[in-house]
Amino acid sequence: MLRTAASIGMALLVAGAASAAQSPSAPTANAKPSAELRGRVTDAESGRPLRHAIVRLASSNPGPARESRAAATDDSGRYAFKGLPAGRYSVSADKGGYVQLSYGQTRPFEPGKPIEVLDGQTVERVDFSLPRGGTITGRVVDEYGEPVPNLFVQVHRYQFVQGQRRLSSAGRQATTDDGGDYRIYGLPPAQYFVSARGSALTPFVSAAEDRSGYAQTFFPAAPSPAEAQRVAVGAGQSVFDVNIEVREARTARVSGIAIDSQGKPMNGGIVSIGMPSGGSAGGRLRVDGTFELSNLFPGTYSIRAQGASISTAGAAAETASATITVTDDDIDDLQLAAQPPATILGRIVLESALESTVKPAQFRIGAVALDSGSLPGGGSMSTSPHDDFTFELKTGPGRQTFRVFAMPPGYVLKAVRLDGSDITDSGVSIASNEEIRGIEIEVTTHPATVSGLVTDGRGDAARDYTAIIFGRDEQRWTMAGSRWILTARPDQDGRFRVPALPAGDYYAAAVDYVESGQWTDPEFLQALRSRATMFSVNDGESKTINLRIVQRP
Amino acid sequence: MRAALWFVATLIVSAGGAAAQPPPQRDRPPDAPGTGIIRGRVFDAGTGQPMRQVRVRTAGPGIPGGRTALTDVQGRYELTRLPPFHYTISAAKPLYVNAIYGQARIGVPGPGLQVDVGDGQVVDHVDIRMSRGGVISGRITDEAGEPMNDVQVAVVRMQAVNGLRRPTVVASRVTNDIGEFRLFGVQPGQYYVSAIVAGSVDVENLPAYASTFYPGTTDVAQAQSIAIEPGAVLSGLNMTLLPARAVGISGVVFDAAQRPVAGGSVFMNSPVSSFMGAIKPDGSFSIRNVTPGQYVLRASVPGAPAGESAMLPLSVGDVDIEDIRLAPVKPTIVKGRLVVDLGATAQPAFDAFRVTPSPADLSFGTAAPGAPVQVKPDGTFELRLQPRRVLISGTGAGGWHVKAVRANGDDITDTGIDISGESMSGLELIVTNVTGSLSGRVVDAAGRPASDASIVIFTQDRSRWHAPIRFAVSTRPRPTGEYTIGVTHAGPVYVVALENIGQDEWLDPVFLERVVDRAVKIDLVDGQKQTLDLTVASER
Repeated sequence: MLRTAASIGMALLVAGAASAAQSPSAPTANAKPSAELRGRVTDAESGRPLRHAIVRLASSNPGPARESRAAATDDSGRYAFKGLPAGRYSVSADKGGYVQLSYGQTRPFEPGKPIEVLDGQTVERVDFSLPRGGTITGRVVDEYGEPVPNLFVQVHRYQFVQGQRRLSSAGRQATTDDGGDYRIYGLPPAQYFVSARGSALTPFVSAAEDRSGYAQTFFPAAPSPAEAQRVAVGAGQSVFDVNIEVREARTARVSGIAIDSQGKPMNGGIVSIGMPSGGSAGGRLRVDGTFELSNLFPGTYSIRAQGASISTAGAAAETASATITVTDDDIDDLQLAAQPPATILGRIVLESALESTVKPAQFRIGAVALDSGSLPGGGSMSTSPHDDFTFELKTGPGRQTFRVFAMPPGYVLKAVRLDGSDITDSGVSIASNEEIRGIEIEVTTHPATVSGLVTDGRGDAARDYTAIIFGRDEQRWTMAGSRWILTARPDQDGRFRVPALPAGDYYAAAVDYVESGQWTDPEFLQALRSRATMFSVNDGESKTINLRIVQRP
Repeated sequence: MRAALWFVATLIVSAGGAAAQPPPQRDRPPDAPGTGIIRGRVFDAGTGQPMRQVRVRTAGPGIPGGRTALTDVQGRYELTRLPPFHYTISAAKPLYVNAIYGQARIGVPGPGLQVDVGDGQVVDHVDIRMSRGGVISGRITDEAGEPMNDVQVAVVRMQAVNGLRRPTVVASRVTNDIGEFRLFGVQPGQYYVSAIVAGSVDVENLPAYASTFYPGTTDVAQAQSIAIEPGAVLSGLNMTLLPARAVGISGVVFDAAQRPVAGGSVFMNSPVSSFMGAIKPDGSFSIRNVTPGQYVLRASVPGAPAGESAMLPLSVGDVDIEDIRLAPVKPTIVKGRLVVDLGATAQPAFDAFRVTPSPADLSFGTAAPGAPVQVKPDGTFELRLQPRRVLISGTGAGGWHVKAVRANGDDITDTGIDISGESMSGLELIVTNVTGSLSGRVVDAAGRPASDASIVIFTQDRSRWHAPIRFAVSTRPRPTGEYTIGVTHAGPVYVVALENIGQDEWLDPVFLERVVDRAVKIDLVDGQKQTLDLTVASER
């Protein structure tokens, strides 16, 4: 049931002489982009054209210019993107009530395939055959059996996020009506959990004496997914009577004070609160540095206070944060104490001095927290380098590395160094009030790349697979947002291509099907390792490797 | 000086909405332990059955955050620990129209009756009847008969803002994959139903659809008005949306230094629809699929200094509009001071006053042209205002109020002032503590006290019915039929007692025109206590 394939019309015709096998040619200067990509969207069951479907296109390469466009289909289901620059594109199609599909996606939750478009080329028959989505309908009632209106109903699904199977929200939200009824549609076949809850985090609405609300409850009446019942939705199937019983619960209040690094109450500023499951809210600190947060259901929250910023000279505002666990009881005396920020001094290193067309303002550098439990944002700020490509960054304490959040088209990060040693992945421990000098952030326009072709069990050219490239060093698999795990799907010539990867030693394996994100699971990679091909790549090297499809672990 | 009328509505008017709000946190006095109790029951007005899980709420001085109670299965509630005060009691439950104890019409928001509680006193039988809100449901299809998902369907009420009738969205929902919508909890009244396709996505070749009013017109004047009775369920309000000429709006957003802005969004808002477009790295924006109407364009730029905003009123017809330049304007600093009126009998605490700017016309929408400010102890204040025509008003405390607003000697209380340039000065708010009153008794045709009536007082100067609402005021009598209203400035007025008036209906010039020939004329004299007995005007 889970694997019910969504059949997709995949015939693709390339009009234009050039072969797509070579890497995309650099755009001719001053030439107006003139490539074209078009196709048709139909109903998978009847083959009828789908009008007013929305087709989205995005370039999946670093540079030359990031394209992101959307177009609607006409009455015959046709769409076209004109005036495209050359590049590698991902394309997806969506229509209300249908399953959203990426081009080249043959199974649920599989990544789509890129489409290589050359200068001036017209790529046709980028067609989609959309299957009808499944629906889940039901009613939310309270313990007296009365319908509860205005609750948010969500579906969740276990997905791989950074190596862990996590319950993540999937698909659309719905709101219950006056009969407590809801309807969620457009669902791909899968096993889902369904939950209902009252309004999202509203910590700044004074709760007065009225402290009750509806905490998240999973079908049929479970406070956590562990006790919840799964709902299996087949392809295009309608599942009825997924009725959820919710109960009003008391909410807690958290109050306290934010103190700056001098030990004085923060004189105004912002307090924000976030939940690990997502959702955050922010409001003002009172002028005496105190705050009060209401309507909190039991759970773990991260709270952060940021002093009123001194807008002159870009000085960073002080921040203070804490992680708290809320039960039924109020927390009255939370103290958030700020530490003075650390100062990071460094420079951006370009590959050659010839790159005079690049301006410092095109770069933006920021710190990234590496220790778990760090707050999103972590108190770090981002900055642009000065005219001589040096920069000064303020950040909070903790283990951190540095990344380039914005750079000119065609550039990628090569390495981050401190006093000559590579800290790109390992980062550096930063203490409060510390000054760290000598950070070098090297960027390049010629990263290492890897591409290749894949054959199936009979030795024939494979056109539908996922290539997984992962570092030989196991410890690099579990890093947050690891640079050492990369995947690629074949383009219209059956070729996979990873446009940029760090120089080093790797495994490569091609599998028939893998769910998006599963490759972040260390156990999966361990099992895959024995079936993989080893290769190494040097700085700036373009490696070609050919793979044979292996059995998925 | 022109004759103007000023009423201190807050003195007497027992409007439930305002009284039920908890006071702002920073003003919280300590929780005074009261000993009074109010209790009663809540019933469904339709079935007569008691209602459980109803939130009954009141607020007053000494009880920050108010008091809340939930009704039990017999519909009983009890509000305890109440300090002596005259309380307004409100009740809320999902799907029901919020109710206030003693309101004139069940299911129609309006002022209620106050409940006097003394020390240790138990007031019983404060019973409230609630009516279910109306339900409107239907289905939206396109010109080919296909269901349309994600269409925003709204219940719209015509509301007078600054004397101008303007559609106001009361509730809205989006359609599902089979085109269905269901709006519920709608309070009784006259409505229009509108449907718009959200235009937030920049999609090429997306057919545009006009914002459509039921049963199928783009002109609200030709739309069918829908009457919602308490608990009514209207289903089958199906609409076909018709394709419209897709108009494109494009231009460039600049910063204060006249450099193109990269990042952020441009929003276009009309009373019933809104569109959005991203600002590209070169500062340009382009919004497709805009439907005709009166809009206000606003650029929202991350990191822009507070108070700087780029806004532009824009009338969209059936042709594309290009080359729009949106540049933020630095707010004008407007300095002013309070001046104590010669007739005042004391010296006020200046910092108890607040000065509030509001739009003098609606070409920029209803958004405030600047933030309200508190007056400094020396009586001066400084506003940061967007350059447009702005009305200035002020509120005091402890019996003090603003009598007139002058700019360099001219009375601009009602006309407003054109804001421009870097800074302006010479704004004066004349304040006084001298208050007159109008009081009397309201009876029905049979001579019985008419405690369900509302009294509406409005100026005899018709040209001001379209002006701000301070030229009309409404209040409710006490159970004995007696009423009192504070009057702070003299002038000729009409006074009329009416039953069955809707929420804020008296703000509408059309309504005033309808009742004027049943009204009584009286000249209000500055600082005097005057009396006027009234008989409820006949229905027509």
